Amino acid sequence: MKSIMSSRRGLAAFLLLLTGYLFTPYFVTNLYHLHILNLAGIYTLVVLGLNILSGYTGQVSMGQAGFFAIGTYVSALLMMNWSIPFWSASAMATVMAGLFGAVIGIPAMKLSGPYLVLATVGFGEIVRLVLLNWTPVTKGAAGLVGIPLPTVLGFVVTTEEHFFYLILASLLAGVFIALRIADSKIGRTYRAVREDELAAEAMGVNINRYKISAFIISAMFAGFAGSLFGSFSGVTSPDNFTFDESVGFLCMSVIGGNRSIVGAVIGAFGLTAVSEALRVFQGFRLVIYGGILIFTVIFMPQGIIGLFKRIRGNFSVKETN
Amino acid sequence: MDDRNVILEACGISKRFGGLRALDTVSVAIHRNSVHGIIGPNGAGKTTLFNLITGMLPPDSGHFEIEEKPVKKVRTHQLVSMGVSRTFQNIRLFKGMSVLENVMIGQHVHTPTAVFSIMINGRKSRSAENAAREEALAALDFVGLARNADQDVESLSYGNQRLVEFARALAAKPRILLLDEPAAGMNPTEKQHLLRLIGSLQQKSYTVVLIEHDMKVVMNICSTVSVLDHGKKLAEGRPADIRRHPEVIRAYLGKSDRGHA
Amino acid sequence: MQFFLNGLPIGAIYALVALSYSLIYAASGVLNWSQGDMVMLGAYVGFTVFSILKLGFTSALLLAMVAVAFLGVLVQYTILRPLRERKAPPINVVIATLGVAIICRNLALGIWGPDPQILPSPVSSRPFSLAGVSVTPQDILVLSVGITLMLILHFFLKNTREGKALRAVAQDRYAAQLMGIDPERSDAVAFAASAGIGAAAGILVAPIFFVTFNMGASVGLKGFVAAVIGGLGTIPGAIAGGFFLGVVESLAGGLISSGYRDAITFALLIVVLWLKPSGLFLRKNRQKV
Repeated sequence: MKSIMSSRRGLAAFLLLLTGYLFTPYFVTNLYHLHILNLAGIYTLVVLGLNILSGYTGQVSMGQAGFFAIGTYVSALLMMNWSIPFWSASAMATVMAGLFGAVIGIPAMKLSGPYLVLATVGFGEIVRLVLLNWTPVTKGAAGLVGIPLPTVLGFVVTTEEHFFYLILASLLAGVFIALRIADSKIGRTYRAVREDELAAEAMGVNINRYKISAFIISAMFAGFAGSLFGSFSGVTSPDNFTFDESVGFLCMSVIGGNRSIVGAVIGAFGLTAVSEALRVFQGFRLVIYGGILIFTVIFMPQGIIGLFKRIRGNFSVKETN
Repeated sequence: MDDRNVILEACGISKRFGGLRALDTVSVAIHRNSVHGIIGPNGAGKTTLFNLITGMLPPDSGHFEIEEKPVKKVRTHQLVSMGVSRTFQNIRLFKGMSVLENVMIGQHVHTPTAVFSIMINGRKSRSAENAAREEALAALDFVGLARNADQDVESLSYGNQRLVEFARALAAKPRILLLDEPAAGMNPTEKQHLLRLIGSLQQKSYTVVLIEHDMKVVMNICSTVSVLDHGKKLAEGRPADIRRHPEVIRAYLGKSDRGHA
Repeated sequence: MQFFLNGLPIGAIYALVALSYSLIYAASGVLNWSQGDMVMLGAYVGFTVFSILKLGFTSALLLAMVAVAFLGVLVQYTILRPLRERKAPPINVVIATLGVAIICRNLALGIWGPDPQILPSPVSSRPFSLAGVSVTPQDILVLSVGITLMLILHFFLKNTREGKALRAVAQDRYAAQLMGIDPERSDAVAFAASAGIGAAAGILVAPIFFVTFNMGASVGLKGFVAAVIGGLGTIPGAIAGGFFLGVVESLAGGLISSGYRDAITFALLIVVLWLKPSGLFLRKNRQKV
């Protein structure tokens, strides 16, 4: 199942959009809107990992906010308590998140369906509650304030515009890595594990290793995104990392198309945009949002990407014998 | 019996599911480069035997030997490295993937997974992918489905899906190929094709173990046949001898009429 | 010991919610994330009946159950049915029920406003001493109503036509169809019953917490945990899981730490799942419901 981007037209379209997107800070002068775009970019990084875990490998997770939180807090605390520079802190936070990916991945490999979902929910909640209660370290409900900004080659990333380019660069790197994983033997093996574990095993695939690795990879994506998020927001608290956040990530994953890397981008940006656009409806905003979720899932089962692929005529030819 | 090497042996295998004795001290010796049929009425324990050989379940007692070395506590995914691959009674292909991708999974242990090289799209990963693709295409070519390589595997006819599973098992480069009812659901032309394929495998020094219900297939292609019934080995020998064996006849005729034999 | 007993009433609530999840899962294989919001809506309807229509507690309970049961059927018909017809993957169904949850929550917010409401209990909350432990009449009410509902459900499933049909569908949907049972109807019955039970749980829990649009979230999640611990899709499992969770939660909160209480519960859950991936009471090939 090749990515849309591997075709020449797909790649061309992507480069065109990218070029346009590069100039966004010049067109979008409203800082609030720019902020929203930046958030969408950060969320995309989380959803990239989630698509690999849940879309490709079939392990549905409603606990990604936990890894996201670990990324934010570990990175922030390393910077604030030990004056570690951003990129080192971020790397360490990413690794730490990956470790926790293994921690939950190990019990998870025996689970499937609602049991797996519940284990991931449990993980997310445990992380949030620890952050909430471990006051000496995490400052509890008050959260962290004054999270240091990143520096790139001596240049301090301060404004919304600066962050725009930093996030965009991170996003491009993330998409590249995700595409490489997805379109490779690893991605193919993940899909085989999703479709039929038993058959994959009979063909020599070490199921457990692949399942755990998917958790680790998704955790690292979320962890890195978390480290960006911390510096981007400047302040954080356990309230940022509730079950509702995990649900949000899952919705972005499914609506965009969870078996596609490009789908992660579409889902994250799309749902963020929709959520913002609905603000005109005031009180009814979330009711409509819920309705959109339901509608999409019924009529676009493969997400928005699925719709694209069907329109592109990705039909399989019925074989006559 | 000939003196050629025994490549795979079941030694006194027993397996029980609750109160049901699926296999009762079954011993079967598969000789190198043979086509060995395993037949018997439904519920005789044939697929269970395959499942035990491939490590999906542990035997209650007894053990297996590959190349005369006992196999201890093997996990299913290690079997391919030991030279064993299989197909399934109910086709187990990977839906949502192309024919070629399905077969390439067979190459899983034979191509390195160079993670770093994959990340940067380096030469090592690309050559590994190409090698896997070549092998998979060769296997597909062998079964005659090379031109369907990029189709969705679900779009193929039933008989061709069986062939894809066959190709996938071949792509795993086994020495021993376990086929679980490979001809089930195939029309006569497809069965003929399958017989030719198995025949040429034998010439290429593969060992094939075959569970089958279709007696024509068994008589045609197998050099040795073992008969199981109710978990016990009833008889073993050349197809012609088995066909006349009184116990075997009784086992089959004693059950409800199943149409062709 | 006190903590043990304290856990029982909330355990009954969890058991009711767990039953809701298990019923729907057994009948239609769906994880209904809007269960918690059925609880919330039950409490709100009860509040409306009680405070605005000025009817008694029992009327509030019954009307709430019926009203929310209708909503359950509506959800099944408009959302679950099309999803099933299109053979939607389970993750899509999850998102759909999440959508329902969001809609319910925000509709409640719109209709009743953001301020917490109060649904007072018909009995007092003053503790008295019973055989050396401290009990409140409220606890007794919750337990008795809860257990009564469980018994009614048990009777329904065992002895009524719809109940038996539901069990058949839960065991083997296709075979049930061949025997002339309409599985969609059983789905609807399951949704109605689950919603009704959830509403009852909402009314029972309302006097303890305030009635807010968010009240369903926590109870819903805990009910789901309870259902899974016991073995998703089994009735005795749901009940046992509910009480087990209530007691463990109470013990953990009382004896170890009240802040980390939920974290301990979740950690325990993960351990349980690791040891018994299908829940405590569900053996692999066991019959459901």
